[in-house]
Amino acid sequence: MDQTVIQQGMTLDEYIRRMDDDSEPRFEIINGEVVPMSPSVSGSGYMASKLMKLIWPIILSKQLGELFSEMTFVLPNADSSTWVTGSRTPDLMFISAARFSAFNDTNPGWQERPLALVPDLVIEVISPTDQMATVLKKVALYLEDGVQIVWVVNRKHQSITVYTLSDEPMVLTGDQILSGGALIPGFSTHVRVLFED
Amino acid sequence: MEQTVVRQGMALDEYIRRMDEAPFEIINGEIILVSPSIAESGDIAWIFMNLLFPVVTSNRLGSLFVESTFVLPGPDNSKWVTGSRKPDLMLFSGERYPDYKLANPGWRKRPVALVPDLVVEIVSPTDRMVNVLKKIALYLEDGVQAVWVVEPENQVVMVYTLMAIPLILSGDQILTGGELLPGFSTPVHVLFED
Repeated sequence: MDQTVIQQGMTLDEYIRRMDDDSEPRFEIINGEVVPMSPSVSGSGYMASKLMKLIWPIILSKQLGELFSEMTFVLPNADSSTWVTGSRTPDLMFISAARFSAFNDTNPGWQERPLALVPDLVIEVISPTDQMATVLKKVALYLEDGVQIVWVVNRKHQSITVYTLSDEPMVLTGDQILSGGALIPGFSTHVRVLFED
Repeated sequence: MEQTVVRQGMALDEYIRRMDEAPFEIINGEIILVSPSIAESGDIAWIFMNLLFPVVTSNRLGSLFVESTFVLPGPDNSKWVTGSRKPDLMLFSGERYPDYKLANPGWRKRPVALVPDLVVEIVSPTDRMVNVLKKIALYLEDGVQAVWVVEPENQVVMVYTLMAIPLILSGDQILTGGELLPGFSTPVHVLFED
């Protein structure tokens, strides 16, 4: 029996054209499907900005890597130069210096293409209306992409949940310490600091 | 352009025949064989059952099942199964299960087409945490209100509900039944005592 294999995603040309098209809502490509991104409320952006300000000095002084806000990465694949299979735009993402420079060295012209490099750490600020099932599916997706650690920031409950591929999640609140671990050594903060206005 | 819509799941007859051969789940239309559980999982399920059962029966909180299957309710339930899950424990709260039986005269010969309110899953050593997270998301999407995940290796219980933040409990911390099982509470370490 003949079987048609439908390749997931879209061509790089189409992807770039649609990403640049202001009339189309921003989108992600998840499990091959184009999923429009919902506009975020200002509290989410503000939280991302606070985290950025806290983490950035450590990254800068120790040259640990790159921290991006609302940057898009695409899933690396054999056809990355012509085809996009998956595309995500986390609120914040961190890529270690070693991996970032190795990527630069082996991908001349990378700046003119979407970033085909999976980050080491992803930070998602969830909105009060996000359902747990949606959040968990997003977390699982990142972990399967190869992201090592996912921080889920919940403004409503003033908590941060830390997810990794193999350990059970850690829920941090109040005086508990969020730390950068091996990825961002030297970064630590009381969780409550993030939720002080 | 013509489009073929592939229907997820399988006919009820086929489902019942195949379930007799080897237990499986149907998740997002895919057939996933249920791996035989190790002694540790059965042990914890039994301890859990013994803790929950007195509370559930004396307070008439609902119907409790061990290693039973539920299928996703649908308009075609008498002929077709779209999704099927087999949690280690599940609870239908209040009168939901008796009501279901009354409303479905043919219930005896068919899998239970009713989504439980509480599901307990016991993680086996070979389960990857990322798959556990996906399973929790699946149950919550089905309409399960609370998912308790027992992780024997680190002696942890994770409590997931639709909107609240997860609870990760261990040692002397108390697992409570909340609104679903008022009156139920146990220190987590009790589940892991030999």
